Amino acid sequence: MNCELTDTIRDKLEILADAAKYDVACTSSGSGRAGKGGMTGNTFLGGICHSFAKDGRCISLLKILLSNDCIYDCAYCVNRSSNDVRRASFTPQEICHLTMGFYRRNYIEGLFLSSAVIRNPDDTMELIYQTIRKLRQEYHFNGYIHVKAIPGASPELIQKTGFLADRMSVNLELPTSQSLQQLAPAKTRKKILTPMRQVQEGIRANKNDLILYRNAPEFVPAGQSTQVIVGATPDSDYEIIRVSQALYDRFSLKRVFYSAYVAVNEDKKLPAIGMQTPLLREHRLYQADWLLRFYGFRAEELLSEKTPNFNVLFDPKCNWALHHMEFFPIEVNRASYYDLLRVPGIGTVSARRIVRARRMGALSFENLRKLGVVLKRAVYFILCGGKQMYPFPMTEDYIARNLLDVGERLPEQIKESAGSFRQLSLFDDFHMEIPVKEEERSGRILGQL
Amino acid sequence: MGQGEEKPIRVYLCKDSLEGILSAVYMAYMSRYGHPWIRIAEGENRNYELFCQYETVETDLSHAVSVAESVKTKISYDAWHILSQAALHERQGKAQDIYRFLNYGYVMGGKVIDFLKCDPVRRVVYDSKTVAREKDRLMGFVRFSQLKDGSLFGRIAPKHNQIPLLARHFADRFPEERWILYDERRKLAAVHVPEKGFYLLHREIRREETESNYSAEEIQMKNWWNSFFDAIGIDARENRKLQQQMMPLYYQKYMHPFETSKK
Repeated sequence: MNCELTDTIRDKLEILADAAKYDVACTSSGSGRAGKGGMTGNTFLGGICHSFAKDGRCISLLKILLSNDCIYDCAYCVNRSSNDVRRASFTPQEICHLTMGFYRRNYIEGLFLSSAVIRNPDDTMELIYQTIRKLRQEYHFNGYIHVKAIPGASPELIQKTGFLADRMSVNLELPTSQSLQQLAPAKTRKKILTPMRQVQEGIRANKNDLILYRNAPEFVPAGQSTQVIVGATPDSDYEIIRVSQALYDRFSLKRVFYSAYVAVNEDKKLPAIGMQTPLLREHRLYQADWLLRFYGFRAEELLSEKTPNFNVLFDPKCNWALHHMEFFPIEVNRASYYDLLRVPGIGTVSARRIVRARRMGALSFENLRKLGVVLKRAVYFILCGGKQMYPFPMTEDYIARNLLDVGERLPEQIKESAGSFRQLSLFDDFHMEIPVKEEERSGRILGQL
Repeated sequence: MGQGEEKPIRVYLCKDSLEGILSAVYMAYMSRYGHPWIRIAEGENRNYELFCQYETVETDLSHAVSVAESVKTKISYDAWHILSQAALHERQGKAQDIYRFLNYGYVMGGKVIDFLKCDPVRRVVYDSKTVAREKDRLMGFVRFSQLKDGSLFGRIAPKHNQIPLLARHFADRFPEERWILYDERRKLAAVHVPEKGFYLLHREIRREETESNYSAEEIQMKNWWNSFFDAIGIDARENRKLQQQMMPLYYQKYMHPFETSKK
């Protein structure tokens, strides 16, 4: 390969990886496929992270745009047509060469191919299809491929692409159709949901085929995902998780990703450049998303019209628990799996361990600790053999204060404000209360203070 | 177990490998000496205790296989899976826990893996989880470099013996490649040949031997990867602490593009 071409590939990589970085989906999970003789690669059901970028996000796939030469002018996007940025396009050949080179060295788990809309949606989708067809059939690549379905592309193209990809995604971008209309006038809710519905139907039909014919080609085996930008528009958390819930329920999505908006464009309709990236808000949305998918919560339990945004200080589950003290305390040895999951500090791993271990006999707090169940938050909500770990009042106020002390690590400024806004009062104890230890209590009874 | 009877403790010494430990388990059962008075100790370094009989067990593959088969049929396949991973843990004293795990297992059957209240059982189950977690990490963190002859070479130094697990993974992933995966701490290499599978080899491979031998394409690919790696991070969200938490320095030492800066 000559020198000039080398340089162009490096430049293109810089431009087109940079342009793709705001797309958050970088998971390689959901598809387990064994290796094949004559091919390169397999896929691992749980996904594999190969590296972590300087922002701490996992790098699992070679995440690039085919091109950033876009005809649309979406206000939030770096690649909007009215922006003056360097434009570049990869050839299918170059993408295949890079993917194989990186994959063989175990830098990546596969390819994530997205694109700006070049000329029209059909041409773009056709190019994406040609690229991954080349990769699969000429380069014999058997690893993970995630591609974007371009809204507005013809159903046949999306169908053909789906049989080559592991995962497809269509970005919802903005949670409500009003904000979509405001910021991305070329896109409509209907245009976005059409390919999403098509992929869902395709997966369902393919499941039936696979039952009948074991060797039928698989259509999008890792399912589809989408992405929502958080903080570019005034939409509330409640609206966002209601949308996510609807997507999980009605479109059988595997994941909804949330992307804290990073201001890249000057636009009257958008927050100014230099605004703080709403990272905590994004974090809270992910926490709520997990509650929806794995913990049996519903969006309406977590938030409501009256409290449309998540609590800054407490994670959504803690917050729910504090407002539902009538549900607690629960007995660890008898509570169902889903009731255990409602305890702050007990996640799916701990709950599963408890359910397994208690078959062999009643569990004590000491047993729980040995099982690896973290008690610092759970202790306020559970009983073992009908007893609290140590006596304390079951009031919302007491528990909330103690949870703040042991809770998650919050960004500094938030923690400080939580402390400084406390009202001084004569009867304030300034968090001086230390839980009484077992030996101290017996010592007090025996009079040895 | 017969209490009250006084017998000297008998300790079976075995190699620190799955086969070694299982051979010792075989001897322990066949001796009919009685479980309460038997210990199994693996590896080389130990303090000898007074009032114990020591017996060295030579690794015998047929004995190990017969124990393995009995675990699969009499306890459960899950128990075998857990046990075989736990044996790769670096912890001293795992052989004794595995022995106790089997004592309970042959009595309780497949339920033994839920008997987490019992310390040795819990240690075996959690050891196997620890090994599996490190394996999951390394499946991503292994870095291969292409040598002049076109084969791939990867160097790691995991805490636990990961070569057997990783070799299986990469043999499935790269069936058409010649590659070597080398564990620097244990001086153990897995060598893969297309269409023949892989074999394990105890041999030291020094850095100089491989690093001077990179192909021209290798250097170009590394540069391209650096460009991609720098471009993909979002400056507004920079979080080096999170990066290091997800990818501890211990592993970064062996990973492109960190190995040069952190050596």
